[in-house]
Order: sequence, then C-alpha cells, then structure tokens
Amino acid sequence: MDTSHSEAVVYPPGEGPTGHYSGPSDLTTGRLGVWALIASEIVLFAGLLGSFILMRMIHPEWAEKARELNLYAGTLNSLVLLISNFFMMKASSAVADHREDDVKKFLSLTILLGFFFLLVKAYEYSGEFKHGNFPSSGGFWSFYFLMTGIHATHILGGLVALGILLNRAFHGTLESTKGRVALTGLYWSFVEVVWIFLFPLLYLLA
Amino acid sequence: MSTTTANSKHGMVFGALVAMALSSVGIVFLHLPGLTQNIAVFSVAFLMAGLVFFQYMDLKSEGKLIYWIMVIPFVLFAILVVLFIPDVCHYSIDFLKVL
Amino acid sequence: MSHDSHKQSFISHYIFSTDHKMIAKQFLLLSIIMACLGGFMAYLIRWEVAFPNVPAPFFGLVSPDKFNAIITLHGTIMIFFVGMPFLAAFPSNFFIPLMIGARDMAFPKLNLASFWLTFTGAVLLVASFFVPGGPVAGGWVGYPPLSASSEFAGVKWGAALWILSLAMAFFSSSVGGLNYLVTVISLRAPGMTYSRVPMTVWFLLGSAVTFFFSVGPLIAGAFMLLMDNMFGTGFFLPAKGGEPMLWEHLFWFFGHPEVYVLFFPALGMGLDIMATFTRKPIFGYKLILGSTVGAITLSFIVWAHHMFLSGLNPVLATPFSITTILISIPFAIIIFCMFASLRHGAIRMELPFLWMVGFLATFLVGGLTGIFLGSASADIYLHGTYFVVAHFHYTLFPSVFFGGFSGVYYWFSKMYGRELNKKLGLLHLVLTFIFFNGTFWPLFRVGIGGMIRRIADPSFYPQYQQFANWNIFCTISAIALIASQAIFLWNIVWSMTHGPKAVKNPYDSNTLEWLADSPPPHGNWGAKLPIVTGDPYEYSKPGEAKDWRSQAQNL
Repeated sequence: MDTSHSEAVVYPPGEGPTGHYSGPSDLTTGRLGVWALIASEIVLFAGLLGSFILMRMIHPEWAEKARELNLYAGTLNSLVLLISNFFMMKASSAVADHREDDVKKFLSLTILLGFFFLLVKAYEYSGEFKHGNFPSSGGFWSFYFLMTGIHATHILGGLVALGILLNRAFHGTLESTKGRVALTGLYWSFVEVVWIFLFPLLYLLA
Repeated sequence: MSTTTANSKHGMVFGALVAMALSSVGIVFLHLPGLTQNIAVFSVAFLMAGLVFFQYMDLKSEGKLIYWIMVIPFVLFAILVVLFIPDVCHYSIDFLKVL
Repeated sequence: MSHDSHKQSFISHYIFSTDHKMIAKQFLLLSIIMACLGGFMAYLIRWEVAFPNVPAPFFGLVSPDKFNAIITLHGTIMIFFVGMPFLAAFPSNFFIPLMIGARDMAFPKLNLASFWLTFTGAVLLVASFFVPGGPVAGGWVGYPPLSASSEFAGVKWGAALWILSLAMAFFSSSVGGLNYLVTVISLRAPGMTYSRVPMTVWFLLGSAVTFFFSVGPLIAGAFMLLMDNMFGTGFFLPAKGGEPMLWEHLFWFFGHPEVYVLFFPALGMGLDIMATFTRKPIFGYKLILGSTVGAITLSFIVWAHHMFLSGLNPVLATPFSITTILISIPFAIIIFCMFASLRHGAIRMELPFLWMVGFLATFLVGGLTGIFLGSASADIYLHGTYFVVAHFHYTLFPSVFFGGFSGVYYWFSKMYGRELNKKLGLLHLVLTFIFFNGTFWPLFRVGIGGMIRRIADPSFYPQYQQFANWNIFCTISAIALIASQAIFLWNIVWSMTHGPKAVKNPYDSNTLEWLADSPPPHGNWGAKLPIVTGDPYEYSKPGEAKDWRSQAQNL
C-alpha cells in the first residue's frame, strides 16, 4: 500500500459511498457482503438441519412418515430449482455481455420457475393437509413444515430481489447496478444448495 | 473467462446436476439396506453441493478471505451436531444400533 | 450521500438518515430509553427481594407472577435492547468509519434497516406488556417446556411477541455486523494496513463476527419455539416426542458467544483509551489480537457450562468444564496486557481513563468468579444461586456501564462538538463504583449461602432469613445506583447543547477520528481522505518533540 496515493476515488461506481477501496482487488463490497450473508445463513440451516438429523436418528418410525411425502412433487421441485438456477447463471452472463433482451428473458424465466417451485410446494402442503398431516401431528411433520417453510421464505426473498432487478431491466436502469445480478445469482445458488441437502434429508432417507 | 465458454460450462454443470438429482431418487428404488442408502444419497448431495459452490458460485476464483468466511459455518455445523448427540440422542451404548 | 450541498429534510436527516453517525446516535438514544425501563425493573426486582409483599413505590405490589415477568423482561431488555445497541451498535456505527478513515458504512441503507429492526423489536417487546395474558414469564432464557406452551406458562401472545422481538434484534445485529465486516475490510483509508487498525475497530469487528456466526441456531430454535406456542407442534414438549434439551443447546450455543459479543467492545475501547491516557503504546498489540482470535474460537465450544444442572448428559460435563477453564487464559492474557500497558505510562488522570480503570477493576472480579462456575463440580452447588447473578452482573455491568461510559466520556466531544461537565462525570463515576459494588458484592455471599435466584418472596423460606439484612443492603445500594445514573443523563442532555465548545483533538490522540471536526460533517473528512502513515500507538517516541504523532499527517 504505497502512501503517496492521492485521494483518487477508486471506488467501484454506484456501489456505495465514495472513498478508498482497500479490499482484495478481485472482490467488491457487494460480493463480500453476500458471501458473509450466506455464511451466517449456513449456520442458521446448520442449527435447523442438525437438530432434524439428530431427532431423525432417534425416531426410526419417522421413516414411514417420510414415505407419506409426495416423492414425485419433491423430485419435480428439485429439477425446477436446478433449471431456475441454470437460467439465473445465463442471466448473469447475459448481463456481463450487455445482452439486454437476454437478461430480461432469463430473469423472467428464473422468477417464473421460482414461483412454480412455490406452487408445487403449496400443492404438496395441501396434499399433506388432506391426509391429516399438520405441523402439530408429530415431530416429523413439525420439522417438515418448519424446514420447508423457512426454505420457501428464502425463495420468496430471492424472488423479491429478482423482481426488483427485472423491473430495473425493463426500465433500462439495470446498468448502474449490474453487479447485483451476479450477487442475486450467488444467493439463488445458495438457496439451491440448501434444497440439495433438504430434499434427501426429508424424502430419501431410509 | 469469455462468456461463450461460460455458457457451455453452465450447460455441462446443469446436466450433471440434473443427472445426480435423478440418480439420488433412483437409489431409493434400489431398496438398499438403510445405512448404505443414506450414505449413497448423502454423497450425491455433497457432490451436487460442491459442484454448485465451485462452478456456479465461482468459489474457485475467490480469494483466501472468502474461503475463511465460508469454512467457519461448516466447522460450526460439525461442532453443533457432534456435541448435541449426547443430549438429543440420549447417548447410550445402543445408540449405535440405530444407524 | 457524499456531496454535502443538498438540503436534507428533517425526516431524511434525523429519522431515516443513512449517515452512520446519526444512526449511531439513534442507537444511543434507544439504549438509554430501554436502560431506564430495564433499570426500573431492576429496582422492582430488588425491592421485592428485600421487602417481600410490600407494595413498591411507583408500581404497587409485585406479585410472584409479575415478578417472573419482570425478571424475564429485565434480562431480555438489558441484554438485547441496552447491551447490544449501546456496546455493539453505537460505537461500531460511529467509530468504525471514523477510525479507519472511511466516509460511511459500506451499505448505508442496510445500516438504516439495522436500526429500525432493533427499534421494531423494542416496540414489540413493550407491546407485549399489554397483550392478554401479559408479557412472557419464563426467564430471559425461556426454557421449555414452560415457555413452549401457553397452558404451562399461561402466556400465549406475550411469548409470541417476545420471540418476534428477539428475532428482530437478531436480524438487526447480524445485518449490522455484516455491514461492519465489509466496511473494515474494504473501506480503510489509503495507507491503513491491517496492522495500523486501532484496537477499538478490531474488537468491534470481533464482536460483530462472533455474533453473526453464532446467532443462526438460535433463530432456528426461536422459530421452533414460536411454532410450539402458536401451532401446537412438539419440538420441545416431551409429551409430543420433543426434546427440551434441544432448545437449551441451541440457545446457549448462541448464548455464550453473545456474552463475549457484549464484552469485546468494552475491551477495545478500553485499550485505545489506555494508550491515549498513558501516552505510550499498548503492550502486545499482536498478543492481544491473537488472544482475541483464540477466545472467539474457544467461545464456540464452551456453551454447555450453562447447562450442567439442567439435565446435561454427564458425558459432556468434563469436556465443557475443561474448555470453560481454558477460555479464561486468552482473557487473562488480554487483561494482563492492559495492566502491563499501565507500566511506565505518563498517566493523565482524566475521566475516560478513570472509567476504564473502574472497568478493569470490576470486570476482573467477574472474570475470576466465572472460573468457579465453569467447573461442573463446583457448579453443582453454585448453579442457580445469587452467586451466578453476582457473577454475570460483575461481567455485563462493567462492560456496558464502565466500558461503555469510558467510551462516551472519551468521544462525547467528538460526537456532539461539546464537552461534558467533568465534575459531574467524576461524581457519577464515584457513586456508580461505590453503589455497584454495594449492590452486587453481598450477592456473592448470599449466593454461596445457597439462596436461589428468581424467588419472589424469600421470607417464605426459613433458611433465607439469614440473608434478609444483606438483601436490604443490596436494595438500598441498587436504588442509589439507579438514582446516580440521573447525574449522567442530566450531564449528557445539558452538555449536548450548553457544554463548552470542543476542539478537534482534546486528548492529543493518534487515531484518525480526532482529525475530523467535532462533530464530523456528512462524509466525515470533507474533500480529502486521510492518508495513514503511522500506526495508532506511536506515543512518546524517543527524540520527537511532541509525545504523540497522528496516524495521518496530510489533514
């Protein structure tokens, strides 16, 4: 860090207050912030999934209850989320190439698939309610609704962020905050990783 | 990394992820003994998570700082699960028979 | 945000300001208001314990169920709505940007959201007083099965509001902590390498990172407790196949790092104040940082010492006793480095320094008494007694009051551009020190005598009659302690507008915030950012005319 540095504004424009950027060169404040957010969210899901894993180990009878889950809807949801994540990545690279109409297309597809995931989840919930499985009917169902509920809330949060970006894309003001598409992609991939662990834990364990 | 190679990379990663997701569901229908099924399903899940982390989230090209920030939650997850066992699982000798 | 010319309306300047200094003052104001509320509850608790079944002035009879509610709310308010805002949020918001030479936080709008989350949490908690069934009454730790269903605790909406207000406080502090981490890493002034960052910033950062890595499991536990209360699930109800110990583990996995989150800011401020008023570098900059990292690592594997007597599996008692005793080593190193920093110092006996010495003296008692509680065998006798109450007041109170006030007295002129009245400050210090020790020192004796905490009417138990006089003594000192805080309130309110004008650097200190005006304008540094050339502790360098040398010479 040479000290003859004049007070030139070397701060990535539009990312925050003008000032001297002292972080690692390949990193922006936004990316560091989202990674830190993901780290603290992982600890949250660690508490949640850790508790479920341990309770699941001492309740072998939960395996039968797990079979009552709609495996096809769960698998479909896994695929939907994978496809949505794929479009998210395409949107990020489209933003990097300034292909505006591709950005709009892929962002809309990501959002649509996100809502479709929630739709399938709602369908699954109603199916469980019809079979008389409510959060209060036993430990497995309490954990099932809690964990998938918290995950769905994270998806909803992601959809809000994606909606804002799509709105900016249509108004052509995305350019000033184009870094945020990649950041939302980071968050969306994290939500994908949570489901990658949630799905086998709930549906596939023997 | 020019975006054309990025697009094809995303395509391959997506294909691999879909294949792994379907294979983990397939394992269930093999009716393996309890423990082997759990281990197989979890190893597929860890592979998928690794793929998403390193390919989609570009963890590979991040600096040491991000590695440190990301390793801490997994260490805490391990501490949490291991040290909860005696109480939540009423740790006793026959606890191992559950696996 | 950065150009100073635009005219800000009252709303955007004071209420929804994204200026880190205004947000810091909002946190300070919120913590003072909640401290008054928490202090009033402390008075009620002490009154009921000393004079059972005698109506307390200004409140009336503190019946046992009200007593339980007051104890729960006293704990929750003092930790999450006084400790966290006053120690973790207020100094971080005001001094992290100023001490590293930044214009504002990395995410100003997120910083705004962080305050209003804590504010909403405080409003929810106060609202829970008035809901049917009254506020929550299961102890600030909220152990199930008592707290997990309304048919046991008799409180349904109060518990739900309590959980929601805690969730708000958690989101606010972890979002704030994330903001501080990104700011320190990416917004340091030119020349401010990591080894030139002052101790206050390091400890505030350590506090923030410890918080947002430990809060996750408790948020999961809070959702489980909320579902137990509202939707009849059985996470923590043995009758429904739940595991009450799971809550205790999830709570204390967060709970113990949380007490260090409250303690670190006081240490950081104390170290910087130490350097300024002894006119010499602190002893062992790297040793202190290493011990802090060691302490944070250990703090994640000590939590079960809170649970030795609540059904913890005996297999865990020994390992957690060992880690608990181990963690006193890094803290001992830090405290002894502070003592070593006093040696050969040209000490200026000024208020911030005296408050800091008060912090050192009282905290040491708290730290040492923790070692008894840390070993399972001794804890079997001491757990749940007033010894524990005295221990944690001797650690939290010095951190929040003595450590926090040393920061306020040190930087008040920087925050408001006016100086505090020194005589009132000294009076406030002397009275607080005397009455704090008067209140809590006898509680060690009462605790060792076996008196259990959280008992509304000790006269009901013949074996506690021997402590009646001690309890009355503590209550009188507690009332005097609370009353003496009025001096401080008057001092800050009066000096804010009528105190003598402050100069930029009244204490000839090296760190960067003393180069900004008092109070610093929007954007802190005007046109030119400071270019850091020295480290924060270059005091009394041999062969130099002045005994201090500011970190940046270009302003």
